[in-house]
Amino acid sequence: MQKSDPTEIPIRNDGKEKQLVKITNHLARQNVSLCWQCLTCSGGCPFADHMDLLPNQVIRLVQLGQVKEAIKCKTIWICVGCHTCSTNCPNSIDIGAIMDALRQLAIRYGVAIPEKDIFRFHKYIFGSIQRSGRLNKLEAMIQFKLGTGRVFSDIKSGIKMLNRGKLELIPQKIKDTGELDRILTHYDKRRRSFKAHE
Amino acid sequence: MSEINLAYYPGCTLSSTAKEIDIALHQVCNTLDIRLTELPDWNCCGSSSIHAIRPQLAVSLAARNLFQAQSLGQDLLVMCAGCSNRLRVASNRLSNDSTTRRVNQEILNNQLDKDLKVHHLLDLLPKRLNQKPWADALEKKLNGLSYVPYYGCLLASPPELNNYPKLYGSMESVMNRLGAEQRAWGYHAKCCGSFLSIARPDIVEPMVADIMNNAFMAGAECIVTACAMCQLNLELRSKANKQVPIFSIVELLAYGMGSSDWQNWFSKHLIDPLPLFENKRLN
Ligand code: SF4
Ligand code: SF4
Repeated sequence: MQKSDPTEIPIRNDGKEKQLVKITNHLARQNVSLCWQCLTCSGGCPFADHMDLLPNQVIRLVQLGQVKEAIKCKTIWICVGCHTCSTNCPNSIDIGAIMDALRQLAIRYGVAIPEKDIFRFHKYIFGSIQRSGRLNKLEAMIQFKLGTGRVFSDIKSGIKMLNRGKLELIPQKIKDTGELDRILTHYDKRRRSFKAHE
Repeated sequence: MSEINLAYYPGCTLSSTAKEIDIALHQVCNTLDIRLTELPDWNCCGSSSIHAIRPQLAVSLAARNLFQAQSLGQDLLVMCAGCSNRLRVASNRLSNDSTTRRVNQEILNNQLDKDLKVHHLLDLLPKRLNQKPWADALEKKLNGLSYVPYYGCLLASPPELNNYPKLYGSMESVMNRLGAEQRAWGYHAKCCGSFLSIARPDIVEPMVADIMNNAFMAGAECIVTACAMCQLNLELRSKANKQVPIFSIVELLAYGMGSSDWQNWFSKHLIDPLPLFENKRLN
């Protein structure tokens, strides 16, 4: 698998670097300067083959203040937050949390998201929880498949699951939706939500 | 000996996709005198997706569940690796981080009095099964069955959860009591692919094939998991020519305790385990 070489990413400085590093650290509750680039994280990441930057390279970009570059990569979307890396990091850095922070920044700055299917998937799951407070897998899966335009790509496994009673036709719903609404409104007010991508 | 009283959070997977694990879990807890009270109005913990795009919101979703457990006055039992991570992180932050406390107090009008413990069945089991009278609850019903344990993310957690016990060896100790034989392999903590199983099956299929293949090569007749999500991903994404059945540790426990409706659960599996059971004459 061809990796892009972060040394080829031109260092661009516009005076905002330090602030962006601070924001990333704050959102992730981490301190990227603790990373000594030992590569343990990348060595153990089960998805490294499918990433364009290795996890340690993403962190390196943040260290260098190149957050605006880091938020463009596929890696932050491929990362599933499995914590294989942070369990082994000698400096106890929560790498997954840094990916979370960069993902948020990518959405907020409206950069082009290279893994559209993954982002769309997250949005449908979000929608399902938004509507009923619980996740209805059937609903989310159907919407996702319609959205990708590859309706029949996974139909066999879908039918298998339906037959074994693994997908519910009638969505469950929580009773006190007032609390749920309060949670959702609170966070909607505080950020520019997904609008940049819709 | 004393009962344990716990609030119970089923989560979306155990209340739909993996109903059978929920049923088996209740039987197991009943036998072990662990009394479960389901949270009256639980909501989804946010799953990996909400956490991925809106992590702070995910904490509030988890908080709503924790507050319900608090008003029941009990610690929480969770069976799903993802949910337990989400709820543990939220519990940690609600008790130790002033901003998280303040924001959630504002939204939900409640706060966590002390660090609410979030248990996974596996951190209670080994100890419970070592004590009388529960030690006799298990029969060696799986004599001669070879297996590999698969923990997935359960063995990994973010550094902020380091105060929680690691679960290494807990499934093995249970399986040992059931008479099953462990095979050595190196995949016990390998990720199952999580949400990429739906969003990018092209990535997950080879990974799952690799896991299955190694279970095969290790000489295992089945894989034992502790997470319903892992179980589903392994079943759904593996190719038919090389498959071994996947069991949840809870199902096997309930079976070992003499539960009678195990055929109902096993028939819900996507990879049919009944031939294996018949072969081994395990019933
Ligand atoms: S394992 Fe930790 S210290 Fe090593 S490169 Fe990764 S983040 Fe940096
Ligand atoms: S948390 Fe992300 S970066 Fe770390 S091992 Fe898992 S997928 Fe890789």
